[in-house]
Amino acid sequence: MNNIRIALREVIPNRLRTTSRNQWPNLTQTRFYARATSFPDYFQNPIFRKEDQAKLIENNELSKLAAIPVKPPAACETSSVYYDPLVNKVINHVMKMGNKQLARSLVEKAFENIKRKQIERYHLASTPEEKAKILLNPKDVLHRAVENCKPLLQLLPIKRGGITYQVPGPITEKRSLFLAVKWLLDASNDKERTVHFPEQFAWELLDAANNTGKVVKRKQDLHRQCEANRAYAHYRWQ
Amino acid sequence: MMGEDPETFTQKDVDRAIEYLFPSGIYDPAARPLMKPPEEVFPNRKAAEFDEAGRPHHFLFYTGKPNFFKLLHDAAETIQTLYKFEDKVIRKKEIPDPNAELELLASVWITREELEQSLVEKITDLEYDNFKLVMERIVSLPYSYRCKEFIEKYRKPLASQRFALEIPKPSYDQDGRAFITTYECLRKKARGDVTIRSPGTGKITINGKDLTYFQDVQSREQVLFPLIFSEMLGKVDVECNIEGGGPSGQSGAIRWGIAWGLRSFVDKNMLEAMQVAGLLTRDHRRRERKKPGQPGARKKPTWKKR
Amino acid sequence: MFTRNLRVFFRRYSQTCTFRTSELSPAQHSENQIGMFYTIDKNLCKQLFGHGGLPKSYMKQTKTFTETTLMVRLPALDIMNCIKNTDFDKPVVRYVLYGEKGSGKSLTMAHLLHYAHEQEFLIVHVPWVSEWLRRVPRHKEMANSPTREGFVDLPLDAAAWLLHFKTQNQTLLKNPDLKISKEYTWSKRESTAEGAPLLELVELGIARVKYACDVIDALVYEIKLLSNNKRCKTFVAIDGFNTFFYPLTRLRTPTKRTVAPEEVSLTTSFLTLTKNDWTNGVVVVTADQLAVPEDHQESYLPKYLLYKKGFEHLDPFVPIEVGRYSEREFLTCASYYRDRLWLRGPSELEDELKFTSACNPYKFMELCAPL
Repeated sequence: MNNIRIALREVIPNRLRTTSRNQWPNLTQTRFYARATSFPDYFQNPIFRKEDQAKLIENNELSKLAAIPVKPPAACETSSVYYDPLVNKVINHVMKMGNKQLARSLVEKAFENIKRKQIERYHLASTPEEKAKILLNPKDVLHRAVENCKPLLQLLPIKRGGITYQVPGPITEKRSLFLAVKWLLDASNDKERTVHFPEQFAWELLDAANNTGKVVKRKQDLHRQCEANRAYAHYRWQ
Repeated sequence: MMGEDPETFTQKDVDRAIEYLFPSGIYDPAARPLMKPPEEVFPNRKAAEFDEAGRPHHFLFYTGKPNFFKLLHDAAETIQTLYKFEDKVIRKKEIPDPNAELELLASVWITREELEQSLVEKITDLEYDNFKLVMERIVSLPYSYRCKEFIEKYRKPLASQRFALEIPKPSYDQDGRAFITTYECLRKKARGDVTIRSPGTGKITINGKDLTYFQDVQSREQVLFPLIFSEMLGKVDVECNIEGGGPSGQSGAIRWGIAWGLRSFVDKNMLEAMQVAGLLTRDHRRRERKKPGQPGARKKPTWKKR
Repeated sequence: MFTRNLRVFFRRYSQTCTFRTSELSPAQHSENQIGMFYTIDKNLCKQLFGHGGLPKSYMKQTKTFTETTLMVRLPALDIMNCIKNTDFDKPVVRYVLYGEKGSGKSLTMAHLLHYAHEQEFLIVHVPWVSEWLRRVPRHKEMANSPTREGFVDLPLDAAAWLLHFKTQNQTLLKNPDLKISKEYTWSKRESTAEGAPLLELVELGIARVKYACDVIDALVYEIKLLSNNKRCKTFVAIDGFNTFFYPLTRLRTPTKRTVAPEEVSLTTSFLTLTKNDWTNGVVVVTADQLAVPEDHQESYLPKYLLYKKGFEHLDPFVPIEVGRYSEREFLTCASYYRDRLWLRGPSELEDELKFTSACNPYKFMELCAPL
């Protein structure tokens, strides 16, 4: 709380000096909140998945962690079997203006479409080997699609001698996942007016899981560009 | 004198006595009469820093903050001694003792205000970050347990979770079923109370209605979360009254209420597991207010370079 | 507790093998088969429900599961027992199915239709009344009724319904016994003579869309006469009956005046049909929350949904509640979904789903969709 007060003291007066709305200069400086607006740094993240908890029990660290303050789990997280962090992330990226219910229903309808299509294909497939290859669980389809769309390198703009070169560089796991989900959503929003988002998203996911389609092409284009710009790689260090 | 035992008279009892003997109607607590040890009331002051000839006592006087830089100097010295010890041990071809590792999970570094108070000097943000860096450096070395007292001096223990981990006793109603009521279940603007009865059939009643009180799936999942986690789905009955807030706030309040009430019906290991899962923490976050001159709580108007 | 777990385990195991029943005829269904699924033949399905009758979400499911199955539930069995024991000389008994949203009223109706078809009832089935009165695309073909003053006609809807009636009763209408009692003149050149078969009347209505509503009026009159004379037994099924009594429709006259349901000729025809002044028949009606707009959906009880007029019109009636799944029904439904690959995952899911869906059939289906 005191950190926030001091941080405010430094931030807000600067802001007020630059804007012309300087009607109440002194009121803002001694404002503080009755409660802290988020949890302090020393609160640990909660561990509520059964698998993670089992690991802790194996290492006998459960009692130690139980003695320190822990943040409560978010409103969308549960420990039940059918919660998936990747699905939650996709729903968050689809969400606009905080409308989580709508985003969740869209993604669930997309999963339903995937399931129906896969069941159709399953019934049309003749041999058991083909049937075994078809992924019937839409979450598996999503996992595979995201895996196939994750880029392994990214292009960083580096300025040398007045020219900005696109230099291939490493990419973190988080950014790679973010790019994969963003590309999938971009491709789904590039749709005809009459087609609904869940259907288009289902098609994109099925294509990506098969290593075909627009998104995988985009990833492969990026990899080709990185390969082409291999010569500039040393610009990262200079 | 007042029937109190002078051997066991603590500061709290002193405060109580003063409040009784000198009743005051002043609003500000700091302006009321108090009787505390002088170190608490009057802040520390520095003693004479230089003698009659003008020579400073402290060897780091001319840094302007001698105590702080002495602290950093000590820290650097401990690092050097630990390095030398490590070299010696490596020459003898031994390994550090794993049992003597420092337990730092249950404490944090002291805050800047407390450091300022103990050193009687002002400390800027940068200097405080530097201090923390140096201490983290000491802790990361393999033989840091040898300088345990030095590190413990600047660590503050966190509030223990014993309130969450104690098991309250359930009361018994007419049919002989054990039940426990948690009042003041709060989350955002929702307020309510939750009653858990055991043994039960898994019936959930919210404001007289079934789980269908919540139309959306997420709120229903949140209500069922503690029951699924502790595997008490079909074993207890839940009855709640809730008002205020929206579906998310109400379901969050009920979730906490159920978890808090389940403490009585669950064994110690599961209780620790619930605490680690964060189900027993009260969510005290509230909506941040909008500030004047900004469109929202944090959002600022478009930044213009000039 | 250990024995209880064993019992639950054995019950589950025995039910995973027996969620289907081989009894395909609804007349043979009894309490032993509550919760089991039976398959309806595809051709029969097309004949009975070709133009509606099954909810749209259910039609999608039939496509995915590649078969049409219905669950045998207690309300349907109750009505079938009542029908078996009715005295057909007394005036018609009216049954009202009511329940929460998605508890299975339309599918219970479908089960009863199958039973009626088997027992060779003459089926008068209105798939969903709101289609006529509330589902209004840009422009609905409306006409002022020629025979009645101030009444509004829905010619296309009426013709579509007559086609539906014809397909459902194909076999019965071929019976030459069903004859009209009096002559109907439609215009200078067209008339249907006395003694002509019912089929001719129906075909005239389909061909001459202008007179379709009047044909329906005549049909209703004839059916009542035929039932009173014991020529045939009638089964009337109307889904969404409370739409007739909701104060407003979404129809508008060319002068932009909203039409009330009493002014639509179709309403009057079906209201005369559901009156209990004829014998040798059964009337089953549903009162559904989804048939009215969301502002008036507070309760699912018939007294609220039918308003005063509807209640008085239908009084006395037999109310039958269609409730949520019981434990056993839920388990069979879950095992059926597993068999059809609609639900996959560990069995702890089922417990969670039972509570999250609160055992509501439609909600359960929705929740299993993305899993």
